[in-house]
Amino acid sequence: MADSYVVKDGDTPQGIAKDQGVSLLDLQSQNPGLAQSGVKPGDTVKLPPAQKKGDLTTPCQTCDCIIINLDKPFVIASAKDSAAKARTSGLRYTSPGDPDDAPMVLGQDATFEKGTAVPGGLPEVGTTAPVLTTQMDSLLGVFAGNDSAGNARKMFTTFQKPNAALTEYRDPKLDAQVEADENFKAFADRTLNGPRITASRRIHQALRAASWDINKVKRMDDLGILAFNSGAAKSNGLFVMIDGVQFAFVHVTKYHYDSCKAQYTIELEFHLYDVFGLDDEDVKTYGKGSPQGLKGLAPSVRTATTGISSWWQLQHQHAYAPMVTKMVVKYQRTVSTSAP
Amino acid sequence: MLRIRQQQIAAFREESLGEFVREMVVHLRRVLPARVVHLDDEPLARSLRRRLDHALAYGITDRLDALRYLEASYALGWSDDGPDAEARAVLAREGLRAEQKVDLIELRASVP
Repeated sequence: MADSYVVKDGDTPQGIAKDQGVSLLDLQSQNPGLAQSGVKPGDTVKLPPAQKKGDLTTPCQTCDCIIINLDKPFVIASAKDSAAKARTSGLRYTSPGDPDDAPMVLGQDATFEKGTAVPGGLPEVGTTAPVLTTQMDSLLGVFAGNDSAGNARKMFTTFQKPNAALTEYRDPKLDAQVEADENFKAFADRTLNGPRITASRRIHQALRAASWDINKVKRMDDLGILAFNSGAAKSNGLFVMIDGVQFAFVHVTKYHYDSCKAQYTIELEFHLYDVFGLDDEDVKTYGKGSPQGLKGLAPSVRTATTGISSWWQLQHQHAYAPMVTKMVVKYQRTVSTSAP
Repeated sequence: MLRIRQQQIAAFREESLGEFVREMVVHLRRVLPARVVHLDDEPLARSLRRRLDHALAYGITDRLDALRYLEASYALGWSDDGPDAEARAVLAREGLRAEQKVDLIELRASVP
């Protein structure tokens, strides 16, 4: 709104005030001479701030709004990597904050020991830990050339300490990297809203079926898996640090539905788990001397076979314990209930 | 789940009126400072609330109309018990909308 008004022919002080959404007395208080002399065309009057509009007795526009909030946070969806399940080690892993009724059964990539022969008759690529460590680091050059945050370097260093037991790896900087990654964003979007993929219903559809009452939505355990295998992830370290997430638990932590606004706001917290370790299939498929190796990939990537074999040897011949990587990422959206 | 039903409207309405009164305290100190200088904020809010109830009883529910009514009530020196006789006559007139009644009262209050 303008802070002044030029009087036109036919204007009156009260008419000006009402047109501008202010009172006549307020207009007079801003223009001390107005009460005595009135206005004439061409005069400029100073305008006070416009008043709010509306009716004092109907603060609720429809008076029958349905508001639904979250009773308490819960796990609304989960996912398991079927490949990891097929290569189970029998190790059951639970982590604080995630459901005890769904322990993660880890694969052979979570095991470690001394002196195991390289499977498949493949060659050893070194014998001492320092040599193997240096060769393993070559993977950073291949898959983490854009590790600007240093997250991949940090994870490699943590593995190479070495650790004597399976540990949980947490890094807020890694969480931030995942949150910004396009693979994660796409995964989170389709977790919320299924129709974008050829899958069954997801959270948005389940909410609609529950008349938008989040507290009545049952847990969905059939989410597809998240993989960091495209876009920037191929060179910023996410591919070599994680690639495919093995387990995911999606917590709903905040929810507010307002029928009058025809929308809801939901906050999800993704708990993502992967094992930073290799199993026998990894080295047989991608290790040095593997018939398959990394055929079809660029020569620079094929050099990574030595790095993979070195990593496997550190873990299964030198007993370097792998790590369970846990990532916690928040995701919030406001969604129209008219969305399909 | 919370379903806001009619019986809950009163609480929302009271909150809305209370907010309006608080805004009016500030507004009057700016527009008609000499008329309310003798009242601290709390007594002024109580006074405003009584006068606002009168306005609502006369069917003045629009925010700007209520503001103009309240301004006029102090400018014209009414008591907290209600409008003066001349204003009561205007407010009792048939065939005029609440806005038009307030227009007449406001015009009278604007005369120096």
